This record gives sequence, structure tokens and C-alpha cells, in this order.
Amino acid sequence: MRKPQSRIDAPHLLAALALLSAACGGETPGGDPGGSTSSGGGGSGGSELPPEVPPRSLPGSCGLKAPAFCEDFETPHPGGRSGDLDESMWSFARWGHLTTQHFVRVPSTSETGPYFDITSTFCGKTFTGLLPPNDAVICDGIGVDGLTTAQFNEVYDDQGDFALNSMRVRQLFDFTDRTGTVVFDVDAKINPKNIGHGWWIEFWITDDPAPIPYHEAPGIVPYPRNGLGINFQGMNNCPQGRTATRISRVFVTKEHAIVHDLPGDLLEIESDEKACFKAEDGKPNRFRIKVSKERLEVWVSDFDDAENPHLLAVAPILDLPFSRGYVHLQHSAYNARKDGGVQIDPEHEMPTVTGVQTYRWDNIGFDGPVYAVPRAYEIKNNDEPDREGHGGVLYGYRLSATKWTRFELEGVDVKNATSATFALNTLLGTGHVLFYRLNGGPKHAFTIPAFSTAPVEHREGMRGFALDVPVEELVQGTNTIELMIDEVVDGAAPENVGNMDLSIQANP
Amino acid sequence: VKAALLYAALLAALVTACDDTSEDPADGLRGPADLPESARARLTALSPAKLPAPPEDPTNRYRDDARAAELGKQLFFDKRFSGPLLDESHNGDPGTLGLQGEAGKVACASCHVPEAGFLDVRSPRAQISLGSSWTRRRAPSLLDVGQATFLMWDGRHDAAFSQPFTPIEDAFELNSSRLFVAQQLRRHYRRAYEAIFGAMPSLDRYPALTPEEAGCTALPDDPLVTHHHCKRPGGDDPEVTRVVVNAAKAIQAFTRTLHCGPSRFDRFMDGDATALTEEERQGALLFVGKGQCDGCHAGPFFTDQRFHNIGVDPDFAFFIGSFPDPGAAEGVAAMRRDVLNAKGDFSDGYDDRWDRLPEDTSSMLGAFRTPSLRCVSRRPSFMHTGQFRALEDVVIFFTIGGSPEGGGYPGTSENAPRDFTSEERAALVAFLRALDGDGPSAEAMAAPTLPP
Repeated sequence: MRKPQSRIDAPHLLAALALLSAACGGETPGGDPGGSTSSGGGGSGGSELPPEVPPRSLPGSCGLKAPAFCEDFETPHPGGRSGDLDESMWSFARWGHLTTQHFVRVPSTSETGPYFDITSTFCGKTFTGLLPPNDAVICDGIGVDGLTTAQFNEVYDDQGDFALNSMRVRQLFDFTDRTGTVVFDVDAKINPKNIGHGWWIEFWITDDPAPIPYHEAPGIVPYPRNGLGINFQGMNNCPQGRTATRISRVFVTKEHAIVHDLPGDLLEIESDEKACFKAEDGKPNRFRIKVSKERLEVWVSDFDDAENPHLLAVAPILDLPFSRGYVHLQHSAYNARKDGGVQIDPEHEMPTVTGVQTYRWDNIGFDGPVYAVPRAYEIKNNDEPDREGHGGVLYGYRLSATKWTRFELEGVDVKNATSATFALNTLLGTGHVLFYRLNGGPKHAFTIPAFSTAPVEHREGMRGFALDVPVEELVQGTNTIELMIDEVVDGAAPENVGNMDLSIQANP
Repeated sequence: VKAALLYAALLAALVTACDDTSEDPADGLRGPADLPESARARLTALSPAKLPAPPEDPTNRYRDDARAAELGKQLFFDKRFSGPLLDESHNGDPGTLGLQGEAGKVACASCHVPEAGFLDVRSPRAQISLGSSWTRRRAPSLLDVGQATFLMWDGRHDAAFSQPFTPIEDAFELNSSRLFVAQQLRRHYRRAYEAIFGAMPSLDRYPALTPEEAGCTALPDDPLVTHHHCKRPGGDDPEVTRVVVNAAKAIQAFTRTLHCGPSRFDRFMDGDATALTEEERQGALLFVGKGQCDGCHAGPFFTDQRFHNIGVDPDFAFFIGSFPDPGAAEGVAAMRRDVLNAKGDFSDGYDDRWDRLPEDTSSMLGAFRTPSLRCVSRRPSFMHTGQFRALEDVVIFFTIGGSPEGGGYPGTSENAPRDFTSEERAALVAFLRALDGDGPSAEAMAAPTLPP
């Protein structure tokens, strides 16, 4: 019996413990679950703004004069699906797949064989067999000032295809009627043998908290409802050499459709040299993203002058369909072992580029109004062994079309709740329906929306959504969320959902 | 005879005048009279009273044969001519065509998806196409392809009957061979073929190829070079080639029937001033005015059928990389060398089509065929590799004047900044969206019954 458990945010732990019920999770017996059907949401949990609260960070933190949010990773918060990240402030999501499995991670191990002239370390050492949540750890590294500092390390094996780690700040970032600033440090290297494969970072702001916004790769189509994305994967055209990189593309989505996908060379730049930044493994670059509805400025430092970002590029034509949203930082990869191989005989090639890469993040912050952070409750990852014998783990869940699959969230605090959102990734195709109900209440139906304005066939895959949850259907303490789908399609990926969590916005 | 001709001419003029109430008989201009005269003249060139039918094509005497069109449609939809899928991207995910190694998974219709306007909306990301592997260019729309003399983005073919040989024999597309295609035609289509083209030759001197043996067994490192993994017996046998040429002529007979059709813009030019919104009308004026877009997107199909370098960044779908594509400089040169060209033995006739091309193909370095803009809003991406995924970005591209010099594209760009304002960009996009027609009939798009 599967027994998903909740992640309880620390401030409400005692109250939650007192309210724990004896009910256990699991699947209900078969049959139609009944209940009334109402339309699902997909929104960001209501249009009401969260209440403003006093600043939590000192002026100057994260290099911001008046930070609304600053994370320096000085305090690990072990437990939960995101390792050492503080789940009350962060939502962490993974994507990986194998031929017959989705939402799967195989063990991450340093590739140090004779053919690997590029390898990776994790917390300063080579590593073996890392699986979630041990693939996301806070440990010491070298900061932008050259001094030792705590950083968030995350790693995965790309499994020969596209894969992602994506972390979202739960606190809302607001740049309404102003230019907002987001800052972060990361060793933003790319594969220097890059001709398309490798690893790189991306930055997104989305108007709802759906996990893993992306711009489409085979089988990965989580276009955010409304979003702004930056892909830092500029290839092979920096005067500073192949270890330098630049902006590859800037994306804007509206209602799950691409409205801008601007190549980096159409952005305003001062020179090719200024448009690039030098990057090196283990040596962070400092990023400063300035964004308004009309304009985007991207500033990044070279790793060897890491405290002084320079202006890379300006995107002057954005017409963003939103002005407040959630910041996502992403580690992307695509079959890195494919580039830069060494021919060992006419038929065989050995990779030289590792498909297992680490990024180290630090000093993530933004300015603007300081909003209360929603209360957060993660649904624990599944822990089934992968079916292909790689020693990996299936962290997503299969859903049925005939019976509810039940998940429990313990210690839920609904006091003064004003809105709630259930966020998840799913493999359901356009037009299919995800049913959900809370605590045995009314059945809600969420129809997977199309993601493009152009006529599209078959372009399906992993999507991300944030469903509205009626707060009156939540209860104090242990809650159940049950999911079901309209149809199990022959040949469709069986792992239907993953990276799920409940957010509750509340007044103080 | 003279009197009869005169009568016919007068009758034709009368019919035209009656059909086209917006046309000023004095100057032949169409469209609302309150449009500036110079703009009206240029817009009239884009929207004649009746969209012309595909021109005569002497290279294919079966081009308008209904039986050939019926056969061609079946061939267009039939996956049994394709060899094994070579790219590991074929992992069964949506948008892929099966699993790596599987054969018989690719048809013309796989990348020219009928209900989408005979273009590729199936491949992941809808930029370059995923045939047997990732192609180096986007599969273009086939609507009004009958208007084109030179085919493919780079003019690699000057005769429609020779065009299918590229996808058939390309390891990245059908990954097949002309012998396998001929053998499959004999297995599945002999009766229909012989009813049109006469007796099909015996191909018994060749071993029967299995689908797995149809093409290459591995991807070549260089997509433009055949390698030792691709054997292709019978590739130089004229009898084998003739069978495939005839099949290709049937496919041309089918694709000549595919049209976008008249649009709201044409209704506007017919005199219905309400057919375009004010923004779309402004877009039309910008198109032929400040934008000078009709310099290349000229004539009733919004294409001059020529090749232009507009400075498109060589990067394509972000996960594939960069390919500084020589375009027509290489394509047209290859066409002239091709035994399957309009002057070759397999052609049924020749006109003056080569006269429209420059002798020195190097002047076309980095140049690509001007695409038609009719039904452009149906496309999920734009330019020869689908670099842009929104019409708004295409207009931004022309606002800036293309990628900056030294941006990595080969050759010299003809593009220049146009400095459109935000409102002007929106108007142009609105106008482009007003060029959508009804598209092909449901019958043309419906998958045919295939012979066993």
C-alpha cells in the first residue's frame, strides 16, 4: 500500500501533530467515486494578493538594498522531497524519464573513467549512487568573493535525454509598475564541447505556482500559463572561448502558448564579448535579472570577476501578460554524453562529457513588496524501484480511471486561509480530465488545456498546472487529496503525476 | 476567328467587371477606393480577382490526371515505404514516430500533417522535423505548392516529380531507397500504377529488401554525405528510378490540388471594406508601404518564388545546435547536376525555368526560397528551421533587420531595419493572420484507404 505523507511546515508542526488523525492513506476500492462534478481551476489560488508582512531579510542581504526575499542556504533543512532545502520556502521538482518510465531518477554517480575529461563533483567530492532526496544538499563551496560559504548543490544523471531540476521560491515576486530585480549566484557552466547537448541553467518567472515551466523538448511541454523564461545556453560563439556562454533564447508564454521565443542575437547587446560571460565548474557567477512588463535586462558576472555583473543583453519588447509571479531556477540537461565523444573504433564512440552534472546555487533573492509566504505541504515522492533495473526510483504516481488514488497531507493549517492551490506535473494529454477531490468532498474536474494557438497534433508530454482548491473543503489537520483520470490511454506513460504540493494563502 | 476572339475577350472583360465590383475598370485597381493609389496598386498585385490555378508544368504530363492524383494521395499517406527510424529520440513519446529501429513509420503525411495545412505540427517543438532523425530544416507547408517551380527551401529540385527522391533517400527523413520504394509499389500498388503508367518492370534481379534493409543502418555524421551504412542497391538503375519517378508524378498530381484558398484580405480587396479590421487594414498598408514586404512576398501567393538571404541566425531547435546552412548556393547547384532535373531524361518536357536563376549560384549563399504567406498563421514556426515560433517574433526580426552582421549565417543579408513601432508590429501580425483561407477540402485531408 502506498502511503504518501505530507511535509509539514515547521511553524505549524506542533499544532499539526495534535490534530493528526488515525486515518491512513491508500487507494480506495474500485467503483465510481461519485460526488458532484465541478470545474477545476488552474489558477494561482485567487486573484487576491497575499498580505504584506515585515521584511525577513536585512538590507544588503543577497546584494539587495531592500530584499523582499533572500536565501543564503546557511541553514540546512533536511527531510522532504527537496533534500536540504527549506520546503516551507521552496518547492523542488524533478523531471527525468527512461524508455518505459517517467518521473524516474537513476542513481547519480561521478563519471571519472579514462574518457571523461570533464567530470563532476558534489559537495566537493566525487560521488556514487545518489538518489532523491540525497541529490539536493547544502554544503560548503567557494562564493563569489572567493570565500567559503554554504551553497545548495543539486545533481542528476540525465539518463540519455532531457532532464530537469527546478526549484521555485514560494514567496510571490511583484514587479507591478516598476522594474523588479532578482539575484542569484550559480556556477553557470555549459558543456564546452556543446553542439546542442549538455547542461545549462534557465530562469523563469510564472504567474502561477505550477512546477517546472519549460519551452518544450520532446515529451516535455509544460509551457507555463503566463511566463517569462531565459535559456542560458549560448553555444560556441563567444569571443572568450567555448567555456563562455550567453543567452540563447528569451521566452514569453501566454495562456500556455509561446508568444515570444526570441533568439539571443535579436536582443540588444553592446558587443559579442559583453553579451557573454565566462563560467567554470565550482566557481559561481552572479546573476542580476531586472524585469518590468516591457523590458528585461540581464546582468551576469564572469567567474573570475564574480562580484561585478556586467550587462549581457536587453530584451526591450516583452509585453508580459503578468506583473507578479513566482521565481524558478532550473538545471536543465540533454543527453550530455552525446557531444564530444572519442572514436575508439569505427563502430563505437566513448563519451567524454559527463551526463551527471552538479550546479551550486547561493544568495537567491528579489526585491519589491514583502508578501506572506503561503503555507506549504508537499506530497511525498513515490519510492517504487524503477522497472528497468537501473537501481533508480519512480517518484511519480500512476492514476486510475476507475478509482481514486489517495494522498494524505498531515498537519494542514487552514486558519485564516483565503485561497489554496494544488500544483503538480502530469503526463495527461490535452483534453483529458484530471479529477480531484478533497476529504471526500465534491469532485472537481480539470481539463488539460491546449498549449499552443497553432493547430497541434500529438505534441503531448509532461505539463505543469496549479489547480484551484476551495478552502472550505480543507480541514484543520490531516487532509486527503484524491486524484483520478478520465481514461487510461493504451501506450500512454503510466506515471501520470508527480511533484505535487498544496499551498494555502492565509491572513496572519 | 478574329470576331470570335474579340467577342470572347469582351465577354471575359464583362464577366470580370461584374464579378469584381471593387475594380476600377479605368486603372484595373482593386480594393476600397479610399486607399492610397500606390498602395492600392501593390495590394491589387497580391489579390487578383481570382487566385490563379497552378501553372502548367511540362515536366509531368500526369500532373492533372485524376487517377494519378488518387494514387498520389495514397502514396502520400502510406508509411510502408520507409526504412528504420535511426534517431534515439524515437522513444515512443508523443510526437515521436515509434521506437528507434522500427521501420515503416514515416510517410509524407507524417511531417506534412494534412489537417494542420500539410505542414509539421507533429514533431516535438514543431520547429525542425523529426523523420527518421532530426532534419536540418522545417517541413514547409504544401498549400499552393503547385505554384512553385523550385522546390525545397534551397531549390534542390526544379521539378516536382524529382522532389520526393530527397525525403525517400535521406537517412534523416524516410531513410529508404528507390529500390525498396519500387518493390513496395510492385507489392501494394501494381494495378493502380499500371493503369496510369503502363507495365511495371520486373525487379526480380534484385533481392527483395526488408523494411529494415530499406535505407541506412546508422546516421551519417554529415547529414549531406551518404556513408558506408547506406547501401541502396539499384540506385543507378534507370528502370528502378523510372518506377519511383512515376510514383512521384502521381504525388505531384495530388499536391497540386492543395490550396489555402481566398482569405478575408481577398474579400476586402473584392470591395467588402468590413472584411478587415482597421488594424488589419493598417497592417496591409504597412506590408506594401513602410515594410516593403511585397518586395519578396510578391504576387497572388505572397512569394516571388525566388531565393533571399535575410540574415537568419544559424542556430535552430535549441537542442540540436547550429548549422550554417549554405541554402540555395548549394541546393541550386545540386539541382543542376541532378539527372532527375527538368532537363533530364525522366522529365516530360522543359520550359525556361532555369532562366529565372542566376548563373553564379554562389550569389545565393545563405539564401532560401520565399515562402507563401497565405495561411501563414497556421504554422507553428517560421523560417527554414523554424527559428521563430511566433509571428510577433518574425515581425520583430524584420523590425531589427535580421540577425546582426557576423551573426554566423553564411553569405550577405539583404535585410535592413524597418523600425516598426509596437502598434505597427501588432498591425502587421493582424494582417498576416487575415491571410488565412479555408484550406484544403475535408476530402483532400482525409486519410485514404490503402491497398493491402
